[in-house]
Amino acid sequence: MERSVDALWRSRSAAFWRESMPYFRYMAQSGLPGVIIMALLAGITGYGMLLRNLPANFPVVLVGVIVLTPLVCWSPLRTWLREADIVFLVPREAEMPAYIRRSMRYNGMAGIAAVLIGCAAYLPLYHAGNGRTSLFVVVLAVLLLKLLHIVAAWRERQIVTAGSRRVLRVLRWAATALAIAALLKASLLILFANCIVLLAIIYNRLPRYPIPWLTLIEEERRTRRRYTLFFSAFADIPTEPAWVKTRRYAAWAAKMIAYRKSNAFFYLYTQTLIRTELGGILLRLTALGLFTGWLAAYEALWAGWGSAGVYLLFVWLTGIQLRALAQAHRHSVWRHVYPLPEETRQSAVLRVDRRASLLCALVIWLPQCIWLVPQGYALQAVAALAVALIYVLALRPKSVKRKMSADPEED
Amino acid sequence: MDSVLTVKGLTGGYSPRRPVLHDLSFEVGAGEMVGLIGLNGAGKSTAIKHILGLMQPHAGEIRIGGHTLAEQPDTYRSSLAYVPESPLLFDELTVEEHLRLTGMAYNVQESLYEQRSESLLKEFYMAPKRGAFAAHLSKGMRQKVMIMNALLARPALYVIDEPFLGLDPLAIRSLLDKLVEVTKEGSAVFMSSHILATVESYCSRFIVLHQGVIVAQGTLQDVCRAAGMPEDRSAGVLEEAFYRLVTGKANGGGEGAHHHGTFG
Repeated sequence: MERSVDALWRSRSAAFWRESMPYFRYMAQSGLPGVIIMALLAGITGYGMLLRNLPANFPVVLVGVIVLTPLVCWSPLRTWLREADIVFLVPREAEMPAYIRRSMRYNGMAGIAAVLIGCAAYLPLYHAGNGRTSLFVVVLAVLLLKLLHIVAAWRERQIVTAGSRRVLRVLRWAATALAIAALLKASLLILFANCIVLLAIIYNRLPRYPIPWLTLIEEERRTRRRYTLFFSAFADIPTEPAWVKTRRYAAWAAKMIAYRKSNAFFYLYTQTLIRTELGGILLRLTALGLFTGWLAAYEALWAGWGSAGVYLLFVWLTGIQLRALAQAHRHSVWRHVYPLPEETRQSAVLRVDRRASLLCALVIWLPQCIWLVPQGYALQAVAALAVALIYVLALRPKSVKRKMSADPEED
Repeated sequence: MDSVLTVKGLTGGYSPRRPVLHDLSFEVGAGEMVGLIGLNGAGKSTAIKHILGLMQPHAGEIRIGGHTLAEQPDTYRSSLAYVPESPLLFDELTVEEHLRLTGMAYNVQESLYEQRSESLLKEFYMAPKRGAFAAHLSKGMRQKVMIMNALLARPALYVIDEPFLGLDPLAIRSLLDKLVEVTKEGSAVFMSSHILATVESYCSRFIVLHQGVIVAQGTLQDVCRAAGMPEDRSAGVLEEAFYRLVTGKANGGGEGAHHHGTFG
């Protein structure tokens, strides 16, 4: 007897969370929650201080756009669909709308909650900066936009050509960023214009699939990979094939590696870092560290020491993520077939790991240098860098090495 | 003829209590192409894993160029290139970068690497795909990448597991031509395949593996003799001999004589 697609959805969702639970436990044991709570407390205190003495020229609207736009526009969809569904579920396409509605509800709720949390975090700043629009109107408008985006993102997924999908996505994000800026500056006309753009995306007449199977399967695979990659920093998990992006702007790093036997694994791991999701996460984390560090250093949080703490937190987080590199290719048959000793693999991982974490640490340090030093907090900036360098150059390599030699062989 | 691969008394498998391979002994000489044939589950892939050093023999030893893996790991591994049954590519490397990595790993001189990779890309009609990632290649193309990598390394021994699956007719032809070329240059090829007609026309010797035991090995005549067949030189005789050997009708002849089932 065939199960209803609704029951299928529920069992798949439950299975995912059941599988993930143990990894959440590992994460909890790693001490990350404690650090996050401390960072949150520090953040709230710093934020409170900022609200009390908000500089007149503080870019309140810009911060609002940066905080709210992604929360409103980003509308992921967990469908739990897999490659095998092309064989088993496609014949039941007619029943699929009920299945997709469940996914929309599931992600919609989370998205709305995220928007509300974003509002709760941002609106005090907006209020302190003498925002002109009533807070109630802002919340209402942002929620309306979120609902439109949930539907528009679905319609966008249905479109047949990838090019049109991309154009619509850019349009969706750009128009909404503009609309949020307008909303915060109390010009509601542009907000209405944005709603019309979103409605146009929703009611577009471009060729589209009833259920965009391949797009959804790919999106689901990417999401799963992100979870896998995140969890792999805390525990050993069965790896899925990596998700690859060319990242042409970083290609120079691999091109610089000399053609030499001793560089073979170094070449491989450099490409792995640049092109897999690990590189993507690292880039986003560095950007976030840069942004957060910028705000903290600009405010010289807690006489600069808070700012230094924020900096170190991000250096540490990039280090945590980079640990996943040692897991790459561990189960590859070529590791045993290539005429290369295992030590060269380990030293290649260490070389790539050290360079990447050093580069991240230096980039994230820039705002500390730019803002803290002129305000007379040079000691804090330099001390933060010194601690980061000890961590990156001495402590991390040791722990990565220990981890690699602890589990040398799995076949 | 110098022996490139020597397997002596190999007993092995995943668990020492339940060996898959029983006392295998054979050699593959320089300039020779040897076909390993057997039903699914006969132990072909397990035998190959032992040769690659991915599995430890329970008894017996394997030498490549006179060395065991334990004695000279680097020489042992440099002497051997492997083409797996299903292509195992790095997702984050393009076709060309796979070749570069192999060139580095096998210490192929840079100028030679450039020359060989260009000609391989051309011969296997992969030049337009040189910048493509594994995810954007068809199964056959991925298999071609594996084969090109093995050929780039130019080792003394090629271990090839079921190379023809998914390959288009042109690629099969290029592969066979290349294998003939490398054997002429003195390399040894050890190839497992279910395509008996091809194995029969290209290999000079055969090893018939059945339930982990070698039931026949040698030239076509040797295999025919073991199958209780008259020495026949017509095409398709290997398939008949194989059928008799694995169905236990080796000396009975008769009823199975015209069976043409698939062995895959």
